[in-house]
Amino acid sequence: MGSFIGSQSDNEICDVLITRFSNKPKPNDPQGRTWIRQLRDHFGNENLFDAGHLLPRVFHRLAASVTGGPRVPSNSRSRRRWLHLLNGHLPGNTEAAIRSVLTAVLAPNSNIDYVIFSTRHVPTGSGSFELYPQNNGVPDVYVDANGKNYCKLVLECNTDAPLPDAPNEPDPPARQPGEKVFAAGRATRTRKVAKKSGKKSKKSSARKKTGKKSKAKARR
Amino acid sequence: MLFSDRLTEQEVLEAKGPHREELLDALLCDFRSSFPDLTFELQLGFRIIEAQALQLQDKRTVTLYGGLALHPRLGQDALTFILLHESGHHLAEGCPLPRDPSLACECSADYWATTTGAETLKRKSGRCLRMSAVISELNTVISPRQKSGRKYTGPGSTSGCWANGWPSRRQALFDQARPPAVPGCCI
Repeated sequence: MGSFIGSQSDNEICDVLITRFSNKPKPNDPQGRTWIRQLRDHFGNENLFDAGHLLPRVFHRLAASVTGGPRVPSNSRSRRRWLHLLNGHLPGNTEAAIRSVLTAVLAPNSNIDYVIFSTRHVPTGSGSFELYPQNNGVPDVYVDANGKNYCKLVLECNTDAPLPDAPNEPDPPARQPGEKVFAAGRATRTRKVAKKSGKKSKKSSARKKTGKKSKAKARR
Repeated sequence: MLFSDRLTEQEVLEAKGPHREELLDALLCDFRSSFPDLTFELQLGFRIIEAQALQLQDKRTVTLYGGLALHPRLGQDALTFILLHESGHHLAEGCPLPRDPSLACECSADYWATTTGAETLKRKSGRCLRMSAVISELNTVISPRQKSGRKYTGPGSTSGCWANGWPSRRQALFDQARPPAVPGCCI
């Protein structure tokens, strides 16, 4: 989106989602994965876009996994308005289309390298919010100058009114059962396996006791 | 765009007059004839103070929303520049926009607007871009609104792009400064 003036809150929402679904390397990832690769791995363990996952909570978790904690958008009034919109105030078809597109993007066999997020104001056929094009739920895929496939997710807003204030909207949205920590990709699963394995645990303890040997091993 | 500022009803009433409609019609007519590959849309029904370039499938659109089109402090010079800048997102060469790689970055769009875009518009329609008037009009709209966006547009930004803040952007527009050529340096 090339907006002439832009708004801070819109930019923050789009930027955090664009980062989370980007093919840029994720800092400090032990496996050197990209943001979207790590998200895809996570998606294999937890389907973030099934009907049991509420969109405001998913957005909050995605944003926090990028910022390391600070909530998005930074303006609390805008944030509550945004979470309120996601909390069941998008038309059902639009919410279903968002879930469908992002599920396709994160599927293991997806050939989409990254996603960009945008909004635009335009009269829509349904007279309400729609995901371009016409809530069809299929990724809208383009190819960039480097030959990478990317998906544009454009939320179309039909109304001229600002998003309603929502001072009572839960912020952050409440935890849901079955959530898994984003940073916990393959690395954490490996650690869990290690903890369960008595043999590996013993080795670990042995290393602690014999520091010199461990250093020697490390040098090798 | 969901959180964009809007013109008040009073401001819309101030700007809505027969001359404004004529001005907008003439402006869009000139742009459509000068840049036939682009689609120019006027969305007066939306009072957001915004304009947007967006490519969806093969359609490259420039949209001018009511809040800018009817802004009482913006005249034909600022509106001409705004449409040129948005056209520049589609037609300029340079770094891609990080938020949409199908578009050129902000400073490439500005540079194109003040050079190739302005020349093409003048040649094909006779409409001139008067930068001093543009800056004077935009000063009243952009400066106060960019203060709230310091996190992204303020001096603390890590981007090397001069389009980060209005003062440096304004100077670059006057100077017709070339945009940075390093990919990823722009907003």
